[in-house]
Order: sequence, then structure tokens, then C-alpha cells
Amino acid sequence: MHDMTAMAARRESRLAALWRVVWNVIGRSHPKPLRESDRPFAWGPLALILLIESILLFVVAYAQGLGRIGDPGAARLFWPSVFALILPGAFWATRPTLDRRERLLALLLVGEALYALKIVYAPLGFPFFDEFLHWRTSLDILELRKLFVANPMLPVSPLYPGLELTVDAVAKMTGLNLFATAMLLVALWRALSVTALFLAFERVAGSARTAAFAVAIFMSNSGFVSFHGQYAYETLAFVFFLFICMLVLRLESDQAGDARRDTALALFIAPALAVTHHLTSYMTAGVAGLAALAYLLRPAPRRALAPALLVALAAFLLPIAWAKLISAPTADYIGSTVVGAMNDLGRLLSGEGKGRRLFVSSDGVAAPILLQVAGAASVLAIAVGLTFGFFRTLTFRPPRMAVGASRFRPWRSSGAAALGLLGAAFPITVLFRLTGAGWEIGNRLNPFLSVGAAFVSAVAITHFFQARRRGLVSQTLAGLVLAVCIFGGMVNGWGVAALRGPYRVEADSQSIEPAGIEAARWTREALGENNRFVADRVNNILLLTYGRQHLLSTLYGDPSTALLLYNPTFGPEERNAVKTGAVDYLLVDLRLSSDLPKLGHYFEPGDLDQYGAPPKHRNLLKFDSVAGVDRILDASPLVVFDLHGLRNPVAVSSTAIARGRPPLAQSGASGVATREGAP
Amino acid sequence: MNRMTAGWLLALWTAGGYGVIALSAPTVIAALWICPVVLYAPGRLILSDLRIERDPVETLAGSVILSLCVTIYCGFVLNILDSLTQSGWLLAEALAMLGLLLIGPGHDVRLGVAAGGARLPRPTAPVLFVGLAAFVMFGAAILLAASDAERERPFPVLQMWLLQDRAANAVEVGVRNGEATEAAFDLELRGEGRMIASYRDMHVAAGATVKKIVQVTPERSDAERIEAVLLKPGEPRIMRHAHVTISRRLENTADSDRRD
Repeated sequence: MHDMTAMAARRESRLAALWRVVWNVIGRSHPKPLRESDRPFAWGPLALILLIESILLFVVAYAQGLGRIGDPGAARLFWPSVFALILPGAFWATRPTLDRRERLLALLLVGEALYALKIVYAPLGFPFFDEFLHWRTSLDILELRKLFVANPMLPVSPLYPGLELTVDAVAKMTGLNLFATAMLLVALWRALSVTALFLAFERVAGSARTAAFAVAIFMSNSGFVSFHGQYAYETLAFVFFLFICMLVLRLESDQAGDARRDTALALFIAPALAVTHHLTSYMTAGVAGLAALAYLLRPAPRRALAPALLVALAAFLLPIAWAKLISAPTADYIGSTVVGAMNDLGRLLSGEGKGRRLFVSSDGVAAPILLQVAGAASVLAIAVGLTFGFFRTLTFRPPRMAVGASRFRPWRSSGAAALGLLGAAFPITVLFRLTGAGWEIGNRLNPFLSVGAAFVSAVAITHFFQARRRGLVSQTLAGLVLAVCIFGGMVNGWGVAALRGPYRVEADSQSIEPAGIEAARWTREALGENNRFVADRVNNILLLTYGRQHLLSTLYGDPSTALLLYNPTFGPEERNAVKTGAVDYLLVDLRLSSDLPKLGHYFEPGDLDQYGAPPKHRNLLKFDSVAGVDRILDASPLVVFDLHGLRNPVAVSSTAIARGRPPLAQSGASGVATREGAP
Repeated sequence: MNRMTAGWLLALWTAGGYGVIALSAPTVIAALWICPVVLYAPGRLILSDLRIERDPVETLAGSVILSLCVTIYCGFVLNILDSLTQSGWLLAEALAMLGLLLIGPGHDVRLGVAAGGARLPRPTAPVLFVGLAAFVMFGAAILLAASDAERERPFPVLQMWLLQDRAANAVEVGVRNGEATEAAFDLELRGEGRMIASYRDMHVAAGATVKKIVQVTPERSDAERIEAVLLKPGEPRIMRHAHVTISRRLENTADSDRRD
């Protein structure tokens, strides 16, 4: 009996010892406050970082030029330059002792340099699919001078015109063109995002260095470089989100008067956010609600609770009220995507479904191994940061917060706790990214949850990994890890497509070239605006913007039209599709038959799976011999057919075909045509 | 700053803005006149009215973000008034700022950001030189990228179209040479078993468009397929071709040329 008691006591003491070790590793906060800012502000290092970044940007531009002509050396020049572009700013911003403004400016240089990558990628026009959708809405506001004009390819865009209004104001008042205005404003929004995030983290952590680490880690989210560098409504909405988060998270350390003013500011911004982007508004409500929960569970001080709840309610109810007011179809728009993603995730977790192949694009091309390693390392680093930082964040006490912990106060800083809980949800984004249908949801959630994950990881670095080791080697290592994280985040978000390549079929920015743009412009000049067109994915966005046409899309209730281009003959089914869809014109891109689509489909999602191969050249051109169809533009490899005759047969005759005269042989695109003898 | 003085400054800015619009001032001047005020002042006035004076970085960022919100709200008002125009925007922004000046409490208005904290040191000459070199390099990177993008033409931009104008009993055939050099073509307009019009060795300058309007009727039936064919002079290969089917109702022929 005595032996058993002794054994139990020994086991208990071993368990207690093990727990102490584990707790020391994952949970105990560094007791001493961080040393801050004993070095005066200096412009020199910042100027040097700017120079290094500019030189590397020039190298990146040169590499992009090589990429455009398909030079294999482009990748060897591009990727190391991008990595080197990130390193100096990330290293400098996170040094142990530095003026906080110098840290912020170094971070701004990194943030803007990463945005400059996009400018160098596409200096003359918008390159991304979503940008074209919002560009159309902007064009409508700019030219028609009114809001809520229907956008056939993204019906919700005109219903949330916050982004377009800011651009419209600046473009109209200054006379700058829309593209230049958008580029300048997105650069401004990037600066505001970095600044708002820095201020939020600094206030919660009470340390500019922790804030600098957190902002640098945040830059490793998959949306930072490309998605939030786009001219799209979430880019502006995310700025509002971050600023409201900053205001809410600091409520507990505000004086009473300051808390009221901060609440007033958040409530002033909330309606602008609600009319800019619905989902971001809901995410704002979520974070404010999380903060309110943290304030509620911590008995003192309570003054932050009501304002946080108020902001959460406003951020939640305003977009609902706005959607009701304008009858926005957001539930349909978001609902189907979320349901699909959840189903896919369920199948993946139950082992029934196959996951998405990571680092492999839709056309089956895998990223180089080093890029794959960087991408995986980026996510792994956040996972390590979450492991070592989560409990430290919950037990974290900012230097200025004097109130000690007690058993009735589960955490010392509610702001830190809210960020910790937000960060704990970060793995969800990784899980979604493993699924086919949920990949986009994971990608979209990633920047929001990265706000929490970045803070937790920064706490892990400053309160564990670098709590005592602050020498040059340790600093350099930290800078390198941050650069790998940011670089890997860019790989995870933008992928190998960040480097230009020669023309590819259905590859969005890689498929946009002058012949397509000019054909779309011609449609506007020759045919007028808002004709009902059928075209493939890339020509759709060109027709939408340069052509100002109305594109048919199965996403928004139009009949499927892929059969028009896939099927070898033009029969009753095809004729019915033309009539049901009231199709006016068909733009045929003969290049489609030459390759698989890089982004997985030609005309509508699922068409490649349905038909199994690219549409055949002869099937694309079958309209040459269909009675009632006119071939009105030949801009080979692009051809426009006029289908009005199919819908209104009285106006046409099929005599040429009926009398057996073969249609004129193929044009120059196929290289088989010959000159016919002139009478 | 005294609110009255701020009001006069606002009036001056608004008048200047109208001047910029009326004189169609260069974009750079217009941007320098408009942007700093529109993207900063409304938000700064809100902070001043709420007596929020904090760290300069926060004041600057907050002012810009609040100004963006003001712009969005102004946009909705302008839409209701059907005035989303250049002068509409200017007036709306000016009135918003005037409103913020008037509704604020009696204390002076603050428009600067320096609310405490150590001032930034002045950059030394070498720092300025390095900064200048960086901006030159940045500009060079953008120019290089732009010139590469401009040069990238994986497919020739050569368009030929054929459109019919039923009301005028005519067809329009057009050729656009979007390439960087002049090109010569033969253009033929063919009916069923007949040549309607033929243009030999037609030179089209770089970036230019040539249009021909030809009046034509079906000869032997109610409808006729008309084809336009673009050929390289002296070569049999057809470069572009288009066709339309015209119906009887037409009177024959006279043609006119247009060059854009």
C-alpha cells in the first residue's frame, strides 16, 4: 500500500516536472519588458534600403522582360531578386533597438516594394481577372455618371461601390486616367494597411519591435502581395477593417474619453465599410465581437465592452441593412461557394475526397522545388509561431498595463487574447487551401486570420526565441526567417505566375495581349455597347472592359454556351442556346484549340471536364458555314460572328450555302487558304 | 488655426480647383492641387472636431482613412443629385469640409500632424543623394517594364471587318494595321461569282485604319453572300476574310473612301 502511494507520488511529480518543461517552452512569458527605442531616428539606413530595393526592382523588371520572351534564365534572375528585395527591410525593421518610426518606415518600404512587383509585372494595364470586373464598374460610374449600373460578370460589384467612388473622385478631379489613379490609390491603401496594423499591434503589445515582427509576419499571408495589391473592393475594405480593429483592440487601454472618441471613429467608418465590401464587414464584426467577448470574460475594466459590442453590431447589421436596401444577391453569391467549400472540406477530413495538389497549377505544372520549400516553410513558421506563442499571448502583459493576473482574470490583456483566439483559427485557412472547392475561401480568409496569427508568432519570437538572444547572428537569422516567410507567402498566393511568361491559353494576365484588346475595342467602336456576347474567359473580361459589352455567364442565370464552340455541328440544341441566351455576337479565339487552359476552363467552370479536350479548330469555325451567321471581323486569331440572323431569320438568306458554294477557305490563321481567282 | 482662416483657405482651394478644371490644367498640377486636400483634410477636420490629437503617424493615417470615408459618402449624395461630375465632386468635397468646419466646437482647428514626439532629423546631403539615386532607379525599373510590355506583341494586330448598313444598302469594309510599320495589302470585295470592288496595293500606315463604303445589291437572287478578302500583294495566301449575307432592297454602286 505504501509502495503504491509512493509510486503514485513519483508519477505525479514526474508529470509535474514534464508539465513545467512543456510550460516553459510553450507558455511562460518573458518576465522582463522588451528594451525599446534607445537609438535615435536615422534616415541613412532607410535610404540605403530604398536604393537596394530600387536596384533589385530594376533587376526584377529585366527578368520580367526575359520572361515575356520565354527566356529560361528569367526565373534564375527573378526569384532570388524578389527574395533579396524583402530581406533588408525585414531585417532592419525588427532590430532590437530602433526608433519606432524607423521601424514603420522600413516596413512601409517592404510593403510598397512588394506592391511595386505588381506594377513592374503589368505597368500598362490591369492584369488580374477581378480587376477587370471592378474596372467595368468604375468605367460605368466614370462615363455614365451614375451608380448601380449592372455589371454582367460581377453583379454585386456595382452594389458595393465604395472602391469605385474613391477612384472616381480622384480621377475626375485630377484628370488622371483610371488605371493610373487606381495604381496610386492601391499604393496608398497598402501604406495605410501597414500603418494601421503596426499601430494596432504596437498598442496591444506595448512594443514597437513586437509590432514590427507581427507586421512582417502578416506580410507572409498569401493575399498580401497579389490579392490585396489588386484593384478590387476587398483591398480598400481591408484598410477599413484594420483601422476599426486597431480602434477596438485598444479600447481597454484607452481613457474613458478616448474610448468614446475611438468608438465614434469606428462607427463613422463602419457604413463606408458596409458599402465597400460585405464579407470584410462581417469579418470586422467577428473580430470586434471576439474583442467584446474577451472584454466580457475579463472582469475589469469593463468600459471597453459596450463600445466593442456596439462596433460589432454596427459592422454586422449595416451590411445586412445595405443588402436589403439594394436587394443585393449576396446570400446566393456567397452561400454556394461556402457550401461547396464546406462539403469539400468534410470529404477531405472523412477521407472520402482527394485534396488539392499543392504547388501544382490547374494545367498540372508544378512549381520548382525551392519555391515549394519556401511556400511550405512560410506556413510551417506560422505553425511554429502559433505553438510557441499561443499561451504566451493569452498570458501576455503589455508593459504599461499594471494590473496583475488573478484567478478571476483569465488573461491580462483582452486585446492580446482576442488576437490569440483569432490566430488560433488560422489553421482553418490551411485546411481549406488543401481542398479543391475551398481553396478560394482559405485564400480569402487567410489575410484576416493572419492578423491574429502574426501577433501570436511575433510574441513567440520576442518572448521566447529572441527573449535573450539578441546578437547579430540571431537578428540576421530572424531577418532571414521573416524574408523566407514573406517570400513563401507570395509563392503560396501568386505562385509561379508572378513571373511573366509567353502567351498561354486561358491564363488571365498571361493571355492578355494587344490583338485581344484591339478586337474588344473594335466591338465597341463598330457594334456599340452592351451587345450580348459569348466568348471565352479571357476575352470575356476584355469585352467587358475595352468593349463594354454584356457577356453571358452561367454563374448568373444565362444558358450554357460552351456547346456552341465545342460541338462539331450547329444543330437544334445550339440554335436553342442562341435563342434562349439572346446571343447577338460570338467572339471565337482560335488559339483555344492549341492548348489546355492554364486556369482549368475555357468558357465556364467544368467545361474541360465535360468535354475532355480543347475545342477543335474546325468546330470553332463551323459558323463560317452556318446560314444566317455573318463573319464580321477577322482579327486572326480572333474572329467575331454576328448571330442576329439566327434569331431573326427573315433578315437573312442561305442562298450561298444552299447553292453548294463552299465557304471561303480558311484565313491566314490556319495557313491553308489560297487566293481565289478574280472574275 | 482659426476656423475663419481655415474657411478662407477652403474657399481659396475651391476657387483654385474650379480654375484647374476650367483651364484644363495639366494632370500633375491638378493632382498636386486636389489630392493632398481631398485625401487628407476632411479626415483631419473630423479628428480636430472630435479633439483627437494623438501620435503624428496615427493622425496622418486616420485622416486619410476618414477622408476616404467622406469621399464615399459624398459619392452617394452626388449620385442622388445626379451630379457625379468633375465639378460635382469638387463642390461636394468643399461643402463637406465647410460642414466639418461649421459643426465643430469653438476651438481652433488643427490641420497639422505634429502633436508631440521627437521631430524627425533633417536628412543629410548623402542621404538625399542616395534617396535620389533610388528614385531614379525605381523610375528606370518602371520604364523598362513599360517598354517591354509595349513591345510584347505575340500576335499581329491586323483587323479586317465587313459590316452591312441595311438602311443605306451598303457594306463597310475596313482594315486596321495595328503594327508598328506600314503595310500594303490587296483588298477584294466579292459577290457570288463576281468581283464587286478591288483595291490593289493599298498602303495602310502604322496604327491607321482604312474604311471603304460600297453600295451593293444581290444580283441573281433575294440574298447574296458578300465576302471581303485581304491579301498580301503578289502572294496567293489570304490574310483575313469576312462575309455578310445581304438581302435585296439595294441599289447599286458608288463607293467612297475614308481614312482615319
